Amino acid sequence: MPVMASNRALGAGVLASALLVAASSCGGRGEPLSNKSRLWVPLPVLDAGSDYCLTQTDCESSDRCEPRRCVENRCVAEPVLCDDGDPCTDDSCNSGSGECVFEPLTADRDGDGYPPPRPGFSRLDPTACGSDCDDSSAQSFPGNAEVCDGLDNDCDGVVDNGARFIADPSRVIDLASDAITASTGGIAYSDASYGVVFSQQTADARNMQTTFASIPPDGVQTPTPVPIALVPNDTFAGPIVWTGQFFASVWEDRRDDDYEIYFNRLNPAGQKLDPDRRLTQAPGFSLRPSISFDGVSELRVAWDDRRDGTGYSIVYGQRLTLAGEPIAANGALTPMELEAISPVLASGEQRLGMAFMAARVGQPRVVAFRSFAHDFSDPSDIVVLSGGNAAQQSMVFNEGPSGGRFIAAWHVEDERGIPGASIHGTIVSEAGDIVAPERPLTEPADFARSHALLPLGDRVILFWAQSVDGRYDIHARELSADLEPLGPASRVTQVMTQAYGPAVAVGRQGQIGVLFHANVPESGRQHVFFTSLACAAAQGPN
Amino acid sequence: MVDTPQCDPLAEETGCAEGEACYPFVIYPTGPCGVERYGAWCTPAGDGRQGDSCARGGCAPGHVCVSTGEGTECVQLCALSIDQSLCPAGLLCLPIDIEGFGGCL
Repeated sequence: MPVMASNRALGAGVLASALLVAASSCGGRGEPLSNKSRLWVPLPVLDAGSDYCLTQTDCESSDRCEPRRCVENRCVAEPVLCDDGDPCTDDSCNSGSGECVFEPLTADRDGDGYPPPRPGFSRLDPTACGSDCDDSSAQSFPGNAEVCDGLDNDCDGVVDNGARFIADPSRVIDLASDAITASTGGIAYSDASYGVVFSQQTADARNMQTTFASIPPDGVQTPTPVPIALVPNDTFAGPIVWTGQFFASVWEDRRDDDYEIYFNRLNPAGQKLDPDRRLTQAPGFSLRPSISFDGVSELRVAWDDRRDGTGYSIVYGQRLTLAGEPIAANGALTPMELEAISPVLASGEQRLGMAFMAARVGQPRVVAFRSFAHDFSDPSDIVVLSGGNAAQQSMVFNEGPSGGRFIAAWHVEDERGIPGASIHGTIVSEAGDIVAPERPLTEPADFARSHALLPLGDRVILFWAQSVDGRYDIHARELSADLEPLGPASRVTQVMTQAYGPAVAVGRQGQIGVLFHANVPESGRQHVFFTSLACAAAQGPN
Repeated sequence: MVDTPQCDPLAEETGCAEGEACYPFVIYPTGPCGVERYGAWCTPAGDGRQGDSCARGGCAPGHVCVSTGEGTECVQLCALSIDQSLCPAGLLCLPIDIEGFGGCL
């Protein structure tokens, strides 16, 4: 036992030539003794706060990373220094064992031998400690051969180099065949099947229910839908992402007498891995969630709500671990003085991008953008991407051969909400600089609205609904990474009427799955459908 | 469960008194075994038309306030599963969270 009490008794600034203490053999250690009965032990002058010791036992420490040695009656710390000289490891000492631990800063989760770059680093950066372009798939790593599978197999920044995608409008399945009405949510692809989420109201459940369906790659079998939110109140499906191990989805849920944002993880069959997790506790509706996976270790969710009593919405965000646990609390992502709604998150190489609708009081709505560090810190300035009266924006990160950029798209509408003739878009750098000014991405139609972007690196495929003679159909068009048209538009839907609201994902045979909403020809009911575009030709190994 | 409606929001003659209009509503269950209840009632008519912000006041007869991707706005009510041409050209009658009704969106 150290004799700290004696040291402290000296008091700061008090000099003493000696301190009388008992030797350890006397018992009653540390107790001042009579100078007639016991040995005098001359001691050095000690500074206040230093550790006095007589033996090594007095310097024992429970922290094996901070051992101390008794040197000239003072306990001297001799910390274990852990440094393996590798900048790509997190070096630390285990306080229980005193052994050094060298944890890689990035872990190779998909087992292809290539870890991903550290969050916030480009995989081309030599200090990124990883170069895998997709750590959710073992089929993507530097040097691999490119095949038509919807992945950037060789990590050259291009998905399915040279492939063409061919629609077959006759191949359509109704995902909500029992529904009175239904509306789309999102789509993603696991290693073996599509996972889609949508909302439907059936005769058995009078409310709108968020529902999951697993669709095989060939997309020809009608799946059995699985309800996700088993509550008697309305729930509306949101987006879904695949992390390499599970689907993650967020949705609007009214079980709490007020729409809140809920989250869960799903296995490829749609079984929930956890109890539903409520992400918001806000007065008023919390709506329009977006979710993004950083490719490594975290999920990010953003939505809009009115918790601050301003009378209008602003955007909030929440980080989640891959275990679905919240990291910190909800945080505001847009300033209070700006009405901000409908956020769309996209994870870039170095920054997290967010497009959203913004309006100041009395001003027209515009599409705005800001980016963050991947933990929502370090927000960039807000930049305006569109002219006035923009609507329904979407955004993706397109990782091209010469670096990644965000691509945003939207449609315009008049004061009554009537859509304009074309989809518009622009390109933004990760730092928030507009790389290309706003431009129409489609040829004029009677009306154009509701779109989705599929980034492939050297090109982007735009899916949208356009109306001619009173009928909406989904169309697709390939655009260069600079948003120049690479060909004419092709029709994706034909059988159903009033098809709109596409959501898209690429499968492992290179096919593009398209989720959309349309009228059932016979009944006029509104259902959710799935179709796919086949990968017609893939370049061989390059 | 559908409450006996006081009026018909989609009818030309809604049955409401002058100065009032018929609007649909939903009452949400508070327990796990409840069900949503729908109905329609007569309340003072607003003047918000298609695309107008709900913040300007109530919605006009035949319209309903919904939260869209552009904020809260009045949109024209429509009946799902009926001819889409009832909505203004370019808009579609899409589901809202009131059974049987859609909004021109």
